[in-house]
Amino acid sequence: MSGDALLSEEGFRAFYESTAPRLLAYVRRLVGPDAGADEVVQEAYLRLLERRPAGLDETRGRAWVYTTASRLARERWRRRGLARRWAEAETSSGGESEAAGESRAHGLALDVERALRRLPVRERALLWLAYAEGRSHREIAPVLGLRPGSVRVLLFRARRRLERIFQEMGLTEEDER
Amino acid sequence: MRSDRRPCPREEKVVRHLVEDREVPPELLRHVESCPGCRSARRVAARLTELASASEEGEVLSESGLPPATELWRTAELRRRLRERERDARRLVAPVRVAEAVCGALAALAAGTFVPRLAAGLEALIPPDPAAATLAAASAAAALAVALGGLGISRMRRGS
Repeated sequence: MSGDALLSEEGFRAFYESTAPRLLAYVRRLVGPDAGADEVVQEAYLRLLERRPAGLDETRGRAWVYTTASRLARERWRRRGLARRWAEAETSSGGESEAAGESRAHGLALDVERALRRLPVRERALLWLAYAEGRSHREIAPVLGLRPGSVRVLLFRARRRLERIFQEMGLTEEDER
Repeated sequence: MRSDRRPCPREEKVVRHLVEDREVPPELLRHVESCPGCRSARRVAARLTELASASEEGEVLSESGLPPATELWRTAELRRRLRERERDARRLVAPVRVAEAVCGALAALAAGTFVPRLAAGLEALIPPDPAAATLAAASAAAALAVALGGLGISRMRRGS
């Protein structure tokens, strides 16, 4: 899809529908489920429509909204003290599974979610983009304002930290699918 | 056996194969088995892709809770028009702002030129009697207060 086509009403609809759900999943991992992740995502697309960056194809468009949403999410995270609120919510729930009757797979997903929340926001972003969305280091770098070489090292550190948290939480290799 | 102290250069390739659910070539698979870093990456990727697929956002917009594209398109149009109006309004007001600045500068210049002369002239007019001088000063202050008050009222009216 060419730049002009992407910013036509029909082109935008197709682009938005194919990218927005995944972007929302990513932003929720950055700011939490109840902290206006949907507002961040909408704002990113609105800014795309307002600013109409030149030479925008689908890949660049996706990078553009991910970059904008990452910046907005990090600002929201800092400004609203979401880190503290998340930590309080974790303490009050005691880290236990929220529903006793959940399936094992769902319980495991919740545990992975909790493990992720214990990481700094940039590490969560790196891990999600690389390991959940399968983005290359070259794609991740501009989204998070890093050099591709730095992505490799920072991602390595983030993965090791997440593995340590998994171990602390008792998420051993047998829990894998 | 490789150690897990440095990032493995093949990790990115391994992860992309796993996340995109592509078949890992046997040679790469053999590498993963012997590389602790790639094994760890495989574990983390498995957990995160599982979490992503279990997420309530889903892959379809209607399940995500986000507004439809048409709504965003309309909001963007409204915002754009609002910005244009603000820009137009700023453009209309600009000459008035320039005129105000020029008037202010002229007033300052006039004050700088004429006030010392006026003061010298007034000094010559002041009667030698102290009571008469006080009366003249009080009258001048009252006249100045009335003038400033009038100016203030006219600005308030303009503001409202």
